[in-house]
Amino acid sequence: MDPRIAAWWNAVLAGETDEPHPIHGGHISVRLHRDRLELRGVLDRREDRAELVRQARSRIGKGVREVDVSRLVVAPRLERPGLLEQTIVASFTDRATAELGRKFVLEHDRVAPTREAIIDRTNAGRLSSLLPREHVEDVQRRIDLGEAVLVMRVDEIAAFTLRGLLEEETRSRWSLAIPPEAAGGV
Amino acid sequence: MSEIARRKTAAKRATAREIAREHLSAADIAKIVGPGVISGGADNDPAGIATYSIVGATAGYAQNWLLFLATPMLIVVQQMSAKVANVTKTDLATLLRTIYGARVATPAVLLMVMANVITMGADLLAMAAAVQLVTGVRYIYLIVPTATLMGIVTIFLDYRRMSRYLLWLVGVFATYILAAFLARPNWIDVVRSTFVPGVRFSVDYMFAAVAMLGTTITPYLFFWQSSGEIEEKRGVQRLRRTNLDVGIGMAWSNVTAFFIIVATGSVLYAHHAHVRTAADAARALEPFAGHYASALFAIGIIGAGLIAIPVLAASSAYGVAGLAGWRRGLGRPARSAPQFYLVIGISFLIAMQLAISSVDPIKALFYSQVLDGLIAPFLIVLMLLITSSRKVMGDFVNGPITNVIGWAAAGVMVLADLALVYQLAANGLPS
Repeated sequence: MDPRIAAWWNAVLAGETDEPHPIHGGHISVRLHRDRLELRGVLDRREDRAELVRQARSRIGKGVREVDVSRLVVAPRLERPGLLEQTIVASFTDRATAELGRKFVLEHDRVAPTREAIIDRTNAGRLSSLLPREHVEDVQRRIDLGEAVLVMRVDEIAAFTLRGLLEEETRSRWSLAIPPEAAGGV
Repeated sequence: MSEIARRKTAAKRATAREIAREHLSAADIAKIVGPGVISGGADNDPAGIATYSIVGATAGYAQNWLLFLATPMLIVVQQMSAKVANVTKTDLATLLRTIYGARVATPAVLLMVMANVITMGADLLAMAAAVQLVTGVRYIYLIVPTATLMGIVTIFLDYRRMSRYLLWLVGVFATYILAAFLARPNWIDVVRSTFVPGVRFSVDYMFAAVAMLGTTITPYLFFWQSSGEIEEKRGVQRLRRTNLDVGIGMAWSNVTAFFIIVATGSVLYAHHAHVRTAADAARALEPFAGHYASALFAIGIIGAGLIAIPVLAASSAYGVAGLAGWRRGLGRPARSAPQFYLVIGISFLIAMQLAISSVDPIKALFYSQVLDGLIAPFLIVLMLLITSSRKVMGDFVNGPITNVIGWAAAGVMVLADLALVYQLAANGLPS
């Protein structure tokens, strides 16, 4: 198990139920009433729920007697993955901060980019191969300011999570979404 | 061939818009309740109901044409708010900031927040006045408990889930439809005034026109709609569903508004009665409910307030958080987005203070909608510029019909605002 998740479970069992989950963050909450553990929230994937339930149940007898997951649900998804993709760009003060942002996004949610790159003055020539022509100028302007940009192409629905994380959870200074396009290789 | 294989084959020669197109069955349509329907419920907030009642009582059916004209405009503007969020994957405030910079985004958001707080204060007053109708307790003593309760509900409960149930309370306003029929209006007049525009150049008429447009095509709903789409994560594959959700919500909102005007026009305007108190406004329901008119009106106003006030507070918070890049969302617990919820809390405090200090609830409701009418065209123009840009929207750029209706909405609102300013300069404030 990821050591951050193990540490989170230890904190929960110690009564620190306010700690946000390392992967699902504010999407789930925990209540511990005497020896009854209740998990609540809405998850994007069935597999995530199954894994979380498995982890919770494996703790029965180790500080909890009962686990209630009746209010932990999977959001109904009607859209089909793999049809459309979207590129999200976020700028950071420098390459190191952009690298931290990239690491954070990949670790903290189920975002699986089909293409990703960090671009700064040293490799700015790559921009035109990653972005449509009309957006290159806007992004180049950020690079000319000395910033580094993180470019990630993901499934269209994952783009909501990706832009949210980059806007709200990282130290990005600016972000941009390229309009959805047919998935690569389609 | 599976649906996904069919779409992939089609994708070889299709645009992203064509790939994303979803086929909806009748069963799908029946299940559509999303941010659009909730926005429709929130559009008829207590301030809206008061405005429509005043319009009906002071001008009869004379402004029905304006409401009719505003309906496609409202639908198109809300659909643009939803679409822009689903394409760019962010809310309106963030988009204004990243595209136009803080110099444009900050005044746009702050004006919306100002109008929201005033409307919240007016809505709180209306809810307290509605409770007074049935309990007899003076409304001034009810404002603080009402605001406190609403603040707790918004900050600590899952409002988006709750609002789906609260919508049923607003169904009470469907009684205006029955009340309008039972009041036996002259239907020929009603139909004529709906389809034949008639403008009177007076301060009262222009105030009513700006207020009615402002309460119908209202700025906070643009922010709420776009933020709602981000929380729902519907994406462009569900744009048809989104458009339908928005269309149904907005159409229902304006049908209700239409019958509020017809009922108040038939009962109050015909008898030269004015709407100065909640009790006056409730009288329009008497043909349907008799002695129970006040109770019915109170239930409707309380339901409308329960839906709209959290929407107003949250719209302000989404706007400010979008400007600042803070964590945001009613789906997040308060501890996970403290600044977002702080804005909600402060909005409630200021609104409560405004409600306590205001003396005339009905006037406060009405003038807050005039302010919305003055701000809305500015935001509509910004949104039109964004959604007409192929660079921002790609294959989801506005079509010609959307653009025509959108620009017409901005144009009509600007004309009404200019006519009001001219009338005020020439004749001064109405009594």
